[in-house]
Parts: sequence; C-alpha cells; structure tokens
Amino acid sequence: MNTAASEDTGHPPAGSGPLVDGITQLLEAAAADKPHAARELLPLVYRSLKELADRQMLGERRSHTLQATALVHEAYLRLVGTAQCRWDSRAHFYAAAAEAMRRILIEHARRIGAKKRGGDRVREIANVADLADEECLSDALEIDAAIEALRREDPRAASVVHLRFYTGLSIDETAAALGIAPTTVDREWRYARSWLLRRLKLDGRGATSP
Amino acid sequence: MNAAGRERVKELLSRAALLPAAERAAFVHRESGADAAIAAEALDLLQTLEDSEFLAAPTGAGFASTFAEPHFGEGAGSRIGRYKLLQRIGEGGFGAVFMADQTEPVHRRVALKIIKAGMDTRQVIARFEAERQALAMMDHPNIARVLDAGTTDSGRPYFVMELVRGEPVTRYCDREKLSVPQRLELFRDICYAVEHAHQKGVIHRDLKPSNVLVSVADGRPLPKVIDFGIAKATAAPLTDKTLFTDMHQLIGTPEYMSPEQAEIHGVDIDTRSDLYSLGVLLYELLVGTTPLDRGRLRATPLAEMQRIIREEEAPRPSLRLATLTSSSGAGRFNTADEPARDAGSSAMDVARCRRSEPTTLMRALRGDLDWIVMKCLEKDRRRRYGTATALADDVGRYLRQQPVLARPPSAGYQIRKFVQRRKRSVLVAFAITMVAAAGLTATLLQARRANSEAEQALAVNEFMREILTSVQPGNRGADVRLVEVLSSASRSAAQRFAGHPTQEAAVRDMLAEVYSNLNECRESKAERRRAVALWSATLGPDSPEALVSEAALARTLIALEERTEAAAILDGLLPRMERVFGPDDLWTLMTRKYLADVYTLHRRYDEARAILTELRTHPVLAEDDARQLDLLLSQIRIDKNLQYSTSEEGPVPEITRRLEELAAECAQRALRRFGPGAPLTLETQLWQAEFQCHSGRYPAAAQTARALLDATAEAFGECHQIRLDAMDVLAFSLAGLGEEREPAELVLRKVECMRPKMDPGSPILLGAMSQSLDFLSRAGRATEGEAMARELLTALRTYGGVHDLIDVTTEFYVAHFISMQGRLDEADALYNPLLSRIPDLTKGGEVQAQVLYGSHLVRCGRFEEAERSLLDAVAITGDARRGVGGHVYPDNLLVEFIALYDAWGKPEQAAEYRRLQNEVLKLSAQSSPQ
Repeated sequence: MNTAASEDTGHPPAGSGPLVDGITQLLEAAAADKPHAARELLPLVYRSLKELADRQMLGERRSHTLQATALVHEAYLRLVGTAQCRWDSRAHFYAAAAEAMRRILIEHARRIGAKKRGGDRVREIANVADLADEECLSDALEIDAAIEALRREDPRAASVVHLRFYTGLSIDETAAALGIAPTTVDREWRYARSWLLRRLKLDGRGATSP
Repeated sequence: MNAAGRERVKELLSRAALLPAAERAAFVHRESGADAAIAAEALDLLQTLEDSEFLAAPTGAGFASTFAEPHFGEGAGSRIGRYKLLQRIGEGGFGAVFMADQTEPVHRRVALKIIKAGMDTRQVIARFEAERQALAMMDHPNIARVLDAGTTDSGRPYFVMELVRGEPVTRYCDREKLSVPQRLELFRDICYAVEHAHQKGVIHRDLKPSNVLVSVADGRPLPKVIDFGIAKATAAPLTDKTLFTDMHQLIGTPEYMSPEQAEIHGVDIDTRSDLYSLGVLLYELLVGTTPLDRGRLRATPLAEMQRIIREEEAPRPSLRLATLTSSSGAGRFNTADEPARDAGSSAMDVARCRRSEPTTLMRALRGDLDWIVMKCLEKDRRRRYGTATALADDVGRYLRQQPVLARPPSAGYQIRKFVQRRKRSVLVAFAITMVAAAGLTATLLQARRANSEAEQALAVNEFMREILTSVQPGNRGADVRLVEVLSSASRSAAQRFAGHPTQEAAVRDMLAEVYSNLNECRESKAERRRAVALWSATLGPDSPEALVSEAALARTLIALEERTEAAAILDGLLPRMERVFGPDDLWTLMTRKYLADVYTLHRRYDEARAILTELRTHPVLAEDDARQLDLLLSQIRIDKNLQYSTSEEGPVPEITRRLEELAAECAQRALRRFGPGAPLTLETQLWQAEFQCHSGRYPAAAQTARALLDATAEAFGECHQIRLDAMDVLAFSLAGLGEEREPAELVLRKVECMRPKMDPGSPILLGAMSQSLDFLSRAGRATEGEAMARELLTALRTYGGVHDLIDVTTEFYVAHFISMQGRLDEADALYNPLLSRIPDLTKGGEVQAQVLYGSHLVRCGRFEEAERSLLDAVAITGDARRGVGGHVYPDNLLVEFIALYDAWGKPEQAAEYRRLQNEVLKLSAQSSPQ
C-alpha cells in the first residue's frame, strides 16, 4: 500500500448502481480467495464510507466526531444489509473498510491542507475519531507515514494497527479478521502503539528543533 | 534489532503490562537476561507509552454496544425463527442467553443461547446436527434438554434449551449452607445425570458450576446439567489456530478443563474428561475453591496455562483447606505449601458454609474424600474412575462409611511426595525427570501389552516406592542424591526380581531413562543393555518392549558419541520397527531421528538434514511441540557442526545469525513448553550464549553463561553436560575480554569433571583437553600445559585421532610448553620435524602453529625468523583478531608481536601493537547486540 498512489487509485469509480447483491457476492468471492473480488470490493466500500464520512464531517461538523466504527458498521449495513454472510467474508469487508477509511482521512487532510502540529500533541490521539477534528487531521498523515514505516520493519504489527486503528475493531475481532490469536493481536498492538508513538515524537522533535 | 529480538521485546512488553507500573522496569531488567539491547529497547518503549493516551481507546464509544451485542438485530423483543426473545438472562465469552417464547408447534418458554461472532456457523450447526440424534435420546430429570439449533439472520448459531430457573450448584450449596453429606448427595445426582448422557454417547466437555443449575422442586434441590452437546458443537477441531481464536469459548473453562483437553492436539476427548471436570466440581463443593487457582490461570499466557493444567498437581482438598486457614492468620496449619489466593474465603468461612468447623471439616476430608477427589483429578485419565457411576458409587460408599475404591499413593504420587519432603532444587529437578521416566515406562508397558500391564506396573511402582521411602532423612540427611538412590535400586533389582525377568526389564528401562535424564550416560547404557537383553530373552527381540528399549539404547550411544555401535544398532532396528510398529508410528519416526543424529556424528550432514526435514513435516509430528523442538535441536546441531568443521575462516556470520535465531526460537519454545530451569530450556539458553560469543558479543555471552553456571550447579550438580558447555562459553567469552586466569581455571575444571564420566578415549574428553591447551598457555601455566598436552598425545595415539590433525597441533603444544619453561633446545628438537607439517593444517591451525613457533623463536632470540613467522600468521588470517577453531582471539597474535618487539628492543613497533591491542580489547568490551 502506498500513500502517494492513493491519489490516483483511491478515488471511487464514477456512477452508482445497486450495490447490495453485488457486494455480497464480492465478499463471498473475496473470502474464497479470488483476488479480483478484493480489488473490486475496495472502491465500493470506499464510496459508501466516504459518503457517510463526508456527511458526518462536513454536514454535521459541529459534532466533530468521526465514529469510524459506527461508519464502518453503517456502511456494512448499507452494502451488505442483514443478509447472511460468513464471518470470513466480513473479515474481508473490514480489511477493505480499514483501507477505505485511511484513504478518506488522508484525502481529507490533504484537501484542507492541514498544518503540522507539535510533536507531543499526537500523544492525545486516542482513536481514529480524534482525527476528525480539523486541527488534528495533519496527524492522520503522520500516523499513516509512521504505520508505513512500521510495516517495512514488521508487517504483522502494521496489519494489526491498520485494521484496529482505522476500523476500531476489538482485539478479538482483529484476531478473527487476521486469523491470528487474540493474545498475539494484543501483543502486537501494545508494541505497535509504543513504537509508533516513539517515532511520531522523534519526527516531531526533528521538525521543531532549530 | 532483528526479528527474534523484536519478538522478545514484544513478549517483555506484554508481560510487563500485567504488572503494576512501578515494577515493570525491574521486571524487564530481570527477564531480558544478558541482552542489554533488548532491555534498553523494551524500557524505551515502555517509557514512551507511559501515561500516554495514544491509541488508548481504538474502539470508539458506541462500538462495543453495536457490534459486540449479539448484533445485527437480535435483542430483547426480536424474533429468531419460531422464537421470540423476551429478556437477556446471561452472557459470557460464548455469547448471550435469552429467555424466549416458542410459539409453534407448542407454546412454551425456553432458553435461547446465541453464540457470538467469530465461528463458522455452518460447522457449528453441522456438528450439532451430528449429535442431535444422541441428544434427543437423552431423557433424564437432571439434564436440561437441548431442543433445537439454528442460524440467526445475521448468520450466527443459536441453541434452544429447556429453560432452567436455577442457580449454579456451588452458589446454591453455599447459600443453603448444605453440609458435606448433603453436598455429596447432590453431587451423586449430578454424576448419575452425566452417566446417563455418557451411556447415550454424549460427552459434556464443559462441566462447571454454571452449567449445573439447581432449582427447588417439591422442597428438594433439583440439579440440572445444562448445555449438553453445545461444547462439542462449538468446539472447532483443535488446531493451533482455532484453539487460539478464543480458548475460553472454544474448549471449555480452564479451571475445569482436563489435561487432555488442554492439549492442542487433544482431539480424542472421552468420557473421562468429564470425570476430571466432575472432580473439580467436587473439589469446589468441598473446599470452596478450584484445584488450580482461577485468578492465576486467567492471568497466565495460554501456553503456561496449558502447562499448569497438564502438569501441576493440586493439593489434596484437606490440605487446601489447611492452606486457607493459614492464610487467614490462624497459623495452626502451617503444612501448606502455597499461599491461598482467594482472599475472601478463609477456612472458617468455608467450614461455616458447610455447617462445620475447620478442624472437623478437615478431618472429614482427610483420607477417603481426599482420595476420591484426587482420583478424579489424575492427569493420566487411565487412573481416573472409569465411569461417573463408579465415582457416584464410591461417594456412596464414603457416605455409608464403607471402604472406598480410590486408593492412595501411586508410584508417581510417592515420588512427588519424596520431592515435597525435601525441598531442594537438586532433588526437585531430579525427581521430576524420574516421574517423567516412570510415566514413560508405564505408557510403554500399557500401550503395548495390556494384559500383564496391571501386574507389571504394580510391581514396578511398588519397587520404586520402597526405594524412595527407604531413604530416611534422619540417617542419610535430607539431601540424598537421587543418583545414590538409583544405584542402590540398580543393585537390588536383580535379586528382587529373580524369576520375574519382564519386571526386572521394566525397572531397568526406567532406571536407564532416569540415568539418561541425569546425563549419567554410562550407567544408562549399562541398565539399558540389560533391559534389552531381558526383553529379547523373554518376549523376543521383535517385541515392542525390546524394540523400544533398543531404540533408547541407540539414543544413549549417540549421546556418548559411540557412533559405530549406534549405527549398527539402528541398521538392524529400523526395518524391524517399521515392520512391527509401521512406518508412521511415533517410535519408528523418533528412531529415524536417531539415525539422523548418527549421520550427524559421521558428518554426513546432507543425509541427516534430509531425514530431519522430512520428519519435521510428517503429519504425526507436525503438531507435536516437544518433538518439533527435538528435531529443531538436531538441526541446530548440524549447523553447529558445520560451523566448526567446514569453515576454516572462523564462524560464517550467516550461519551464526541463523543459529542465533534458531536458538532464540528454541529457547522460547522450550521455556513455554517446559518452564525455566528445565534441561532443555537451559540447553537452548546455552546455545544462545554460545552464538553471542561467536558474534563477538563477549560481555553478553559471559553474563548469560555465568547465569547458566549458577542455575545448573544448583539444579544438576557440578558436572552436568550443560554446565560443562556453559563453562566453555564462559571461558571463551572471558578470553575474548582479555582475561587469562579464569578461563584456564574453567577449562581445567571442565576436563576434571569429564574424566570420571567418560571413556579415556572419548572424543568429547579429548576435545576438551585439546581446547584447554591454549588457555593454559595464555595463563602461563606451562608445566600443567605440558602434562596435559602429553597426556592428550598419548590418548590420541592410543585411541585414534578424532580430528585427523589434532595430534599435529598437540605436538606443537608439547614443544610450546617445553619452550615456555625455558628448555629451548629440547623444544627446538621437537619443533623441527613439525614445521614441514604446517601446510597440512587447517588455516586456523596454521596460524596457531606459526604463533607458537614464533614465540619460541622470540625466546631463542631469533627475532627476524620470529617476525617472519608471525607475519606469516597474519598473512594467513588476513585479520589479526581471528584464531583457531573459529573463535576469536583478540590478543593472541598481538601479544606475540609485542613480546617480539620488546625483546628485540624495538619500542616503537611494540607500542604500535600495544595500541592495537588496546583497541581490540576496547571493542570486545563494548560489543553488544546489533
């Protein structure tokens, strides 16, 4: 995954159509490990999430919240509905949702040209919802860059963060989605939090030092 | 930091997180052992996150309530199929239970349990369907019927059961203050209910108080066991992956789980698992707590939890009660060996809930009830009651004051008591290996020949009991070594079992096993030979007993590096094993592993590696942690040998790195599987130290090795192999740091430890002697060096060289030590014929020979020749820091240069080399993990 590339590929395909049937099939296909399905899934989820996010962030900006999980949930209901769907299909949905959420945030931050904040402020980011604040949006870029840096060193820890941070999945759900043990998720998550924060602080120091 | 290091950091962080903030730093320091880089990284990360809100609440508010709820619709008021949910009456790790109305075909009130997300619904339902027939046949007043199962609209499985309005049996008993006999009556009802299910072929798998609900009907308590069939349906096949997905949910509740259920591949669960859980339930009814501490189990990582369930013996109920009392401060019963953790329940409270007094209650429990409970809790299910009825009947016998069937002390139990009486770690470690061996023998006997099994096992057990109880602390001191006990057992066995050769064979097998665990390989070999002979004579050479015993003999020979005989035995043995046991039998496979080890001893590494690679992926072994570890260790051995034998340049960094990672992985797996202080754990830690040493991380290596020396001395005595190896690593590390005195002491001590245990021609012994020469030389101990070198030379000529060139090198050392003592002409005479052999030596040997000869020339005042010799050595290594045998000798060559220029009167050159030497030493001292 490449941050720069999201400018080009991240935009949803134009036009719209009935989604519900299509996405259920796509999810099942993705679960059956058909790569095309995963590829086609992302734009659909992206579009749905983006609509919802825009409404929340722009239309109802007074609330200043971006409930990632609520958004993902709502997107899921809109796209998949209550049709029967196996868990591993849902796992694919979450993976797509995490990526979609990331792109929405980054795009948004770029659009408003968010200014970099001091290094220590990032300590207060407790979850993705905290990024919805306009003055915090620049942190989205920094956090994303940090996650990418982590991925180069430790792909598994980065996947855990990616999923858990951008969609707010619980430890158990993240474990199920990634097919690893909850204890492993917990361990990776703890490590990744420290690692990311340390990196963000170092970056911050670099930027503010004379 | 490499991947292995990072994994260790993660491990440290997650374990530290369980501790109070103030204790974390100390914990990290303690647990990171010698590895300063890992400690530093862990501490830095810990501190970074301290008090930080960063990503502290990734799951946004409102999420938990929308998703975690049996979500996608179901809640009070909604409908699922024919059922209307009325109100939530319970929830847990599994999901949620609702009271619900069934509308058709009959109108009734039911309990509906929705299993939470994360499982493959189709599989759950399929498994349930498979058992539906059996469940339908269950009809018992003490069993709540399972009526239906299905899938909710959101795709999750649900179960519909008879609605029971009761409370968990333990809570009911305490609230009603039932006496012990009343509780036992209630318990018997539960047993009969479980028996009924067992007879219909249904195993519960998750018996615990919350699944035994008691309501009151007609003024009498009516226990009902709920959830029959559900645990099985919701338990995915126990692979690693599913087990880890959600342990509590998938395979039961740890405190009530039988050891076989806790095994990852414990797929074959039978009715005796339920017997174990019933035992836990009975324990709790009697003393108010579970045998294994709930809080502790819950707070433990999974692997450790499994180990506890598998291995830890609970105190007998009466003893546990005593523990509770002592913790509440009464102090009358100080026999307790562990502090109670249930703060709230003192023995007084427990007794009061049973309308009794602590002392009275304890008297009631001691003896028969203790044994009944402990029989249920046997780790080996063959020792438990065969059926729930048998358990209920024995409880009935107790109530009628008849003798119970449960019998005290098995041999294993005796051994454990033996250990408990003498709480010395020496004995603990020894006796644990003994228990393991006893278990092994029993398994072997029982698995292979069931008819004479009971008699045989009894005789062996009885013998062991006699041996162990004959040791009186009074007359021989509390610290009797197990080896002495064993040797007296060995002496008396022949007479004791005269006329019963198979019993003697079984005892010899066990003694051999224990000796082998204690690394007393020669005794082990002797016992094993006798066992093999006895089995072959009585049951035939192709009997399972003889075959298995012979395989073990091969293993011992491998440990002794008697490779020719080991190879001969395996040659004849493997085809027979394949014929008798089949090619995929565990014994056959492990015997093939021994063959790989023999190949390794013959330095036929490719063949060895091929076997190991095949075995590691063999389905029988793939899931078996302990065997995998075993195979991994054999692979490491190959790499280690490769490292020493094929490389003339010193360690190949790539192999060193691979080895370090392999060893780290092994150490972790061993720690997880066997706990700290276990031989295998120590051995893998040893290798870590060794590889640290190879990569020039001397301070870390020295620290690890020293810690190992302490730990092993305490646990295994002075001369255990692991300890000897640790001495080795320590000597090299210290030498790397420029020490001279202690390394020499260490290698001398090592040789002295080995002498009495080894044949005088043993390659291991000769290798150690050869190794000591250099250390003696550096410490300036020339006379001892000469004696050692001469002895080694004689041995090499008598027994044949191990490494073909070792005797040339040794001759160099003889000359060297003579030269050191100032007998220059004598040395000269020895050196002269040797010089032509120098080009035959390995690169390292060549350097060493040139250095030794160079130092001799310096002593003779032949400075120009000396300089040439030393420069030759430099030219060969290309690096003055490299030396013999792949180890780094930072000052070896440099010291000689300094001596040369000092003697020659060239102070500038001498100063130059001194400066270089200081730099090298500084580098070694600073070297730390990258």
